Amino acid sequence: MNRALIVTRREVTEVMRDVNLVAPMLMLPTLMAVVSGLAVFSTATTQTGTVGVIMTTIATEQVGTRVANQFLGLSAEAQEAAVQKVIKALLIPMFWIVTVGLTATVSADSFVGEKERGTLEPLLATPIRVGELLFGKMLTAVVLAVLGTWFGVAIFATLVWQSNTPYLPKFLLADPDWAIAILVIVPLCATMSGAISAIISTRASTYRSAYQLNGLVVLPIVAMLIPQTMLLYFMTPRALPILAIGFIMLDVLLVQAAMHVFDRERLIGGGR
Amino acid sequence: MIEAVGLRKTFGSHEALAGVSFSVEEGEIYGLLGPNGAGKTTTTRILACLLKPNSGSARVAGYDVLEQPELVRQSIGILTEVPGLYERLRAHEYLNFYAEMYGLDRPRRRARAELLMRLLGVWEVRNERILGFSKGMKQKLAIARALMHEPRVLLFDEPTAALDPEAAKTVRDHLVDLIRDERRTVLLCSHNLAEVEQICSRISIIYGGRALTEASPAALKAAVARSVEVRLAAVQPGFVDAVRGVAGAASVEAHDGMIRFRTEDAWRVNPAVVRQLVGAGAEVIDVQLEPVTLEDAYLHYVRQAVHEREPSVASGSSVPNGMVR
Repeated sequence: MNRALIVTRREVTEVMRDVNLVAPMLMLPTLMAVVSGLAVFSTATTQTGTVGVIMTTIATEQVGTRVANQFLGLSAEAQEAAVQKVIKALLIPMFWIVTVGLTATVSADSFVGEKERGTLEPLLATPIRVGELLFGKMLTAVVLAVLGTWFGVAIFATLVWQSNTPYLPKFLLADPDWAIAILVIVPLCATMSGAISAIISTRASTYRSAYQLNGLVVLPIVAMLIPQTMLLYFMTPRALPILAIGFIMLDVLLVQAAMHVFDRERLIGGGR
Repeated sequence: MIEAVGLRKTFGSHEALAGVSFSVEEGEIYGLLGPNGAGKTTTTRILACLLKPNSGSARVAGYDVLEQPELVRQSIGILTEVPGLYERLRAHEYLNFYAEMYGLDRPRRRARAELLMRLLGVWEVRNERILGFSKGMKQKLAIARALMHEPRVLLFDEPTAALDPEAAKTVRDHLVDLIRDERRTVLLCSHNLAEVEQICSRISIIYGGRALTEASPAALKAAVARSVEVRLAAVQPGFVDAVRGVAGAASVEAHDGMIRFRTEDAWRVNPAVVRQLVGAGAEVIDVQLEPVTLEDAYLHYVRQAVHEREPSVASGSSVPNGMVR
């Protein structure tokens, strides 16, 4: 078997036996799915409930009176279409944040945690190529983060199915936008975060610092992406395919950068 | 089997290695001695292709560390300062992982793992997670890992440091058996001078990134100045001057019916001193040569190096922190 896959299999086994890693991998997507699900439920009934009132108030404040009045002047069909767009534009990026958070958790442990525990040196002394090691470790982080995110999406999709909301399809992934966002962009987001982790690992010496650095680099990127995505989404129906292509280009650049800086001497830390 | 020529390595402004050279023959256990920070680990890492030297060259198992690093890594087994185990794995899973990394097929993986775990006394805990292992058991498992793929060259950094005396003896005996039966080559970095003396055929003492000397343990000890006491029937005033006349005899003094002196070449100087004393009319009763341990020899070389580097530090008997255990 390819050495990269051997590394991935070993790392997945280890992660799944560590409650400190498994717990956030389950809790973060569950929390996001449940909160998003509650918001969806609030749109499904005429009685908005407390959550619906709070969300509507916040949304109205964000949108502003002029836009709200414009919205109220639309036909019923146009209003429904607009609400569908808003819900998608708000909820989809939330799952990307989950992906990024999970990738950072797993990859900080995989890249720098291994350095910290002294397991990296014997591993680097095996015939494994640096590219194989990078691929194996990134694959671990991407696979686990994607599976964790999909776990959250599965909960959310179940809630959507149960809610009978008119603003989301009964089967969530039947909607092309949701399908692209979850099946294509989530893995691309994970790859981006994993590549950034790999680059950081050549600098950071502790799990904590790697995790924090990853957050510092990745979260602003995602934070910028969310409003851009929303804007793009309102401008063109091809927003998500365009975004996917953008992510692919970004990932290629980041993986190349990671390959460039990821070498044995840097990983060891050049120490004595 | 290992050939290092003029290895030089710097980390920023710090020069970790300043031209270290040595060679290790096939089937030899070669000791690398030196205080903490001397450059032992850097040397090992260069030989394992984990670090690249700034200058100099090295060949391991016939392969160049810069040109053929993958072949070098396939040929070596390494044991680092810390065991470096995946503690959430079970012992057999851990060995299986490394065996796969070296491309061993399943039957060979199983056979090697069983052989080594039985040999090192961890067979009974093969299905337990490493997390619960004692320090000694972890070290044994790390040793088993290094031996899994039957490497031609072993780079061992303190292999018995965490082991109890019985386990340490098992490992030592196993190393010696490997050499005898399978012609393996071992580079052993250690602070355990007794162990090094026991199993190494040659030793290099390094300090400040430089090799101070290289010789067999016996030759290293023989080269260190030692005290000689010559008991005489009676000490006459001319006897001290007679001994002072022998080239190689230093610090000559008379004390309690004895002539005492120091020499770095007892095999040549002692007979000459006895001849000189007998010629001067002395009746020699006994000649005592102070025994020298490898620790004495080691300290002698390191203090000499410290003195050359920082004359004010080494004037006393102490050596810099961390020099010896």
